[in-house]
Amino acid sequence: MSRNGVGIVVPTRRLDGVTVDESALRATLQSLCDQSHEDFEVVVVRAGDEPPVVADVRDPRIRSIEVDGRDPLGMLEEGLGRVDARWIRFLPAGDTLAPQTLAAESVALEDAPDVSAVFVAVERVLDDGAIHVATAVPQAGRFEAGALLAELVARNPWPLAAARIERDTLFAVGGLDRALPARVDHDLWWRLFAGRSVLLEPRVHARVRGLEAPVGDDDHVRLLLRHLRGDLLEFVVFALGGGARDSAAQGIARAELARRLRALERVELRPLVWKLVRESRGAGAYFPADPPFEELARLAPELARADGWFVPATAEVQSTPRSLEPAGSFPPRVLVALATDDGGARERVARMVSNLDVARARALGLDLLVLHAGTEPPPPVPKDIPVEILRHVGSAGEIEGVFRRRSVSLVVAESDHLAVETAERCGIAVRSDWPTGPLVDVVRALHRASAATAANAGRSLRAAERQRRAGKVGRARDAATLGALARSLARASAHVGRSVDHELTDRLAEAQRQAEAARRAARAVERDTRRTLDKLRIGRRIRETLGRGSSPAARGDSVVSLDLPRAERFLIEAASKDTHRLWVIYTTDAYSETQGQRSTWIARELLSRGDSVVFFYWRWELSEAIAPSPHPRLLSVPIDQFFRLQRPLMDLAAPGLEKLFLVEFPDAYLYEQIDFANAHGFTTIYDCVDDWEEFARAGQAHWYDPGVERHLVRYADVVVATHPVLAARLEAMGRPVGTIDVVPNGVALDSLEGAPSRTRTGPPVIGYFGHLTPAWFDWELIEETARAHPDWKFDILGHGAPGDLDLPANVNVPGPVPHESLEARTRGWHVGIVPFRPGRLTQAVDPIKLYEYLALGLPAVVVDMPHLEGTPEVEVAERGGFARAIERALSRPFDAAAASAFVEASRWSVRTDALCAAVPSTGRVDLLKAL
Amino acid sequence: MQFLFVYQICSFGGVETVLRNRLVGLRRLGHEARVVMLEDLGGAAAFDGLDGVEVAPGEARLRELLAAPGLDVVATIDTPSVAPMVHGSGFGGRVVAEVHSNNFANMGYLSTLGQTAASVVIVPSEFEGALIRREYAGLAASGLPIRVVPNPIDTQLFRFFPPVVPLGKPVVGWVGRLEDQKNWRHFLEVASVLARRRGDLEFVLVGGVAASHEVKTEVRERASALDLLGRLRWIPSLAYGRMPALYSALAASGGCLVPTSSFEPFGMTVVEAQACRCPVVAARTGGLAELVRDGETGLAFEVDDSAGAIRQITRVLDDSTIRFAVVNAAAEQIEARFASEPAAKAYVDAVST
Repeated sequence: MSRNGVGIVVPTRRLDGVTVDESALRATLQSLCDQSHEDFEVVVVRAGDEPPVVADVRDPRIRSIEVDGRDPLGMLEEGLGRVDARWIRFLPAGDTLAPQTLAAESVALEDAPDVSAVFVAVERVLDDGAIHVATAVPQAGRFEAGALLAELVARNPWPLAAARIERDTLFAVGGLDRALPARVDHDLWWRLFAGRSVLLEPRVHARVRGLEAPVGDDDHVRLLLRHLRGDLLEFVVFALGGGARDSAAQGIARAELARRLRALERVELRPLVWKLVRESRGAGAYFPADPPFEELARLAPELARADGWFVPATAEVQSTPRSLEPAGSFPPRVLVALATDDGGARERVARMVSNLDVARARALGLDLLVLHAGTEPPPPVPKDIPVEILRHVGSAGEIEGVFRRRSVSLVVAESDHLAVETAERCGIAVRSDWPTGPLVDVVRALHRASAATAANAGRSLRAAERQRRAGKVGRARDAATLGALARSLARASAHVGRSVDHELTDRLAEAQRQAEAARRAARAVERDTRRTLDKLRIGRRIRETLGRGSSPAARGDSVVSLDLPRAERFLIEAASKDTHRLWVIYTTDAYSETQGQRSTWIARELLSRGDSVVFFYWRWELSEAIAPSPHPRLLSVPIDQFFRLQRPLMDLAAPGLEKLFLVEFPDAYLYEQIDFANAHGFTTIYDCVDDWEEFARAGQAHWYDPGVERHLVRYADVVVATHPVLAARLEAMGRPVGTIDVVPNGVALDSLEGAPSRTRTGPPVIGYFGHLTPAWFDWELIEETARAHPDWKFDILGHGAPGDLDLPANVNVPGPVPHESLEARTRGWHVGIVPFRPGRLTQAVDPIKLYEYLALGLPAVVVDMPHLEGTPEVEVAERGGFARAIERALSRPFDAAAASAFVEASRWSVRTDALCAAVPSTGRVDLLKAL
Repeated sequence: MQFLFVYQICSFGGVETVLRNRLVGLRRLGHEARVVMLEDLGGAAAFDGLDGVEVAPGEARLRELLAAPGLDVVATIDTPSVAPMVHGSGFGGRVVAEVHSNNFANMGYLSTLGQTAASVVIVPSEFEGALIRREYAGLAASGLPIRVVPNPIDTQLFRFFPPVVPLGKPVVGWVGRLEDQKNWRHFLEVASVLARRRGDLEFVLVGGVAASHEVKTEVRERASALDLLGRLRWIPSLAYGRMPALYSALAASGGCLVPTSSFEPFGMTVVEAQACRCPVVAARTGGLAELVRDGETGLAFEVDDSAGAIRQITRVLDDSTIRFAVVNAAAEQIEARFASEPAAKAYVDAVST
């Protein structure tokens, strides 16, 4: 071989670590023997423990060497050291060259004696034997230093076998680097292209095994971070949003940015871009500052194609790390938030919903949602609008939850105040200057554009599918088709951008005229909004404290915190006493024997049996005093302080100690706690007392998440319900049939036992005690019945009554009465009633007051509670038969013996026995119980 | 030999676990070893049952320990702040700089490490070594040797325990802090697809007790949005001593562990799981790629490649031949390299030469 010849290194192990079989190696060597250009030598490098399979290849230009170990890079380096030629070629065993390859390269190099390398096009052989199309290169010819770098950003079109490199150059640019073994070729080309001129030979000369390295894998990111340190890195980082802090990048004109983005759009960069965002630490969004909306719309399709994530952010939002979160895809999902309570605003909400053209938006896959935040129920929904598009949210936390669940990418808020609040909370862009009309038009423009994209993509995909089914092309051709599809999508995306741009130009002019008017209206709304948000912030603080354990004092809040040392002492004592049963009860209301809640009565029973109880309850303000613990074995703790007691509770263990976690409402926070408890020795019990989903539907229980309740139902060790209707509902949520115990509500007799033999004198008095919210208390029914029966008197006790009631004179609403005073207060009553609004909510209720009426010697009338049929001295009525049921109850004699027997069997002691009996003596078959 | 290890914090992270196991291994080999952690973040439980561990002892006590007679090796783990104190203490033995961190923001000191008393750099993986060699030119130029010593594991603690109750469905697990680079969101995505395709699986996510309220809320809301709440168990924290039971339960259920990290210098949970004969299907990144050699000691997929992850998880769940092969090979790897004693021996060799 002459000094100007080619030294070819053939390692038997490929870069991915695979050792090829003998036939593949023979094919490689045969392809070299077949070369028309003869001025070369071959060094086959094999591991010492491999058989010498080339011993019978009788070509004096081919020799074999052994190396220790099986490191593919080590083999390449060893081979490189054994050849002495101006030109080097690496040809991993299994790859082959066409017979004219070396000759064609030599001819090309004769015309360009100063270049450092020549690259031929390649085709790839896949595992199933299919041939991948030839490597796509920009064009043939000579490329000066730096000219080809852009080709290496997204992928590496040239495997090792594609190149003949000048030996001196190979060493001058740093040789083979072990830092990125899987991408040693990609890495080498980058250094080579950066400083040397090369030739591209357009014809396919090499056939190599396997596909290109995947785009966006870890090594790809590392490689880019390693090399993209010049203008290309600045450009990429700038495109990803970090450019605002990069003075060099700020110099790149917006037009240049757009041009470069278009250059990138033809490659699939989604995973790569996302990783680069993370790697670049702090890059927040694509845009360095609040961009004009038309520019966003113009660039968005390109950006979305490049990545799929984008956050059109204001400068303020960009500085928020949370804006790094993926925020949906293009076209953006639009969420309109409007926070207000006044009547005029409710009308605007309804109009906005109407104008959004819901049917069309849905057909195009655009996700619309209108949030009406405030304390009042949402406005009425027009008949042709799906109900689910309009949601009433009662707190800022709920808004945030909706945003995160729905991956909202664009928010339009009516008031600046709400906009800022939302942006801060959710790290999402908010524009406050879009009046209703133009917004609708913008949305529609986006729909039209996205429809064009979708149609184009759909056609291409269908064509690809037809080809695939026809079996006319193999996997390689499919890949080519997909490549064509990608280019087609890119063109479609550009079309989207132009379409939106034109649409917006017209619309924006109108928008600007209307914006000022809208702002004026918004300012008026804002005053109300601010008041609403002040209320919402209180809830937010509670939630934050609940989760973070941050120091409220540091924030200047007035917070009443748990006395942790005292609480820990309580737990230690509970674990060390004789009975060894510790209950955690997680419920809504504080322990109060004057309020009469199920959780209190059960806790009282447990305490009377010597058990210890940690009683978690909800409080509305962090500044509220912690509820008293009127028993030495009772510890009252607000739920917002749960996190402080979490570890002591979970870690608490003592010989014979039995820990039980009784959940009375499926708070979302419990998703974090219930399996924590399951894995830490607790027997978990879900005590379902209401149809919470219906409560949420009725505008109550804003915290409710059906998934969390399903989780509880599935993974609590024990599930009980207050009556069979609820049990059936829980079974429908996934609990096996027959595994739910029914433990109805009960009665505490010590303060209620009245005079079952009481004589009924005077005009009839119909009484009620309990909550009076119009959400379920049927005030209209009371009013109608009272007007129809002026000789009856209605005595309605409790809190929560609306302030604007217009009731006849025979209805008395004096307010709440202490539980211990009920017996005296109800002595003059003839009938107790439960007039709840008909519906699922009512049908799932097991009213404690019913048991109490009977204990007081009162017959009862309930509305729409068929599950209570058969209860002694209880008339179950439909709404229309309410008055007739009262008449029946008034007219027939009271069966005191039957009522007394029923009450006796309904004592809380009996219910608590049933609850305890439902707890199995042996552990449930469950992964977490195995830990 | 006498060793003193100094670490910045005492939380409940991987480094604390490494130190614990290294202490155990070195002592089994007859060496003396102490650990000092400068700041208490609640992780002392990791060292329960071990003496010679001091948390937040104060500067004076640290100086006293550095001046103790017979001390041969001072190893600082990602804690450059101690270097001046070591320098000023008159300590004449070997100073070792251990690098476990992947937070470049805190690793700038490596560029000038050659100007300190450090005589060797210890890293847990080839990946970490290559990383710091590449990122810190000053370190590469200093000529300081960079040696790989695998993180040790206590194989008496981490071994397969038959579960105490029979298990039902195969359980696919994820263990780690809820940090971006752990890529827990990808696990939820993969779990979501698997849950839709197969009714015979459950999922468990372990970790996150120290995560922010926002992240915890996001876990729930993502799980809700992906319709996973009914299939995904979440244990925010599990005592270190109970982790073998977790991995054993995953293994016994027919499930596997799926680390989805996008960047991982080593991958301690993988070693722990492998020691408990729990198959691992891991993202091909950093140290994970060294621990999980595809088809040999586990199955691998590209970072963020949901389709690849699902394919590999399905293989290890359904193909018992592959499952047993990777479990056995991984267990052999653990015994040979990662058990406390061979790892401690490797450490002694690395700092002695």
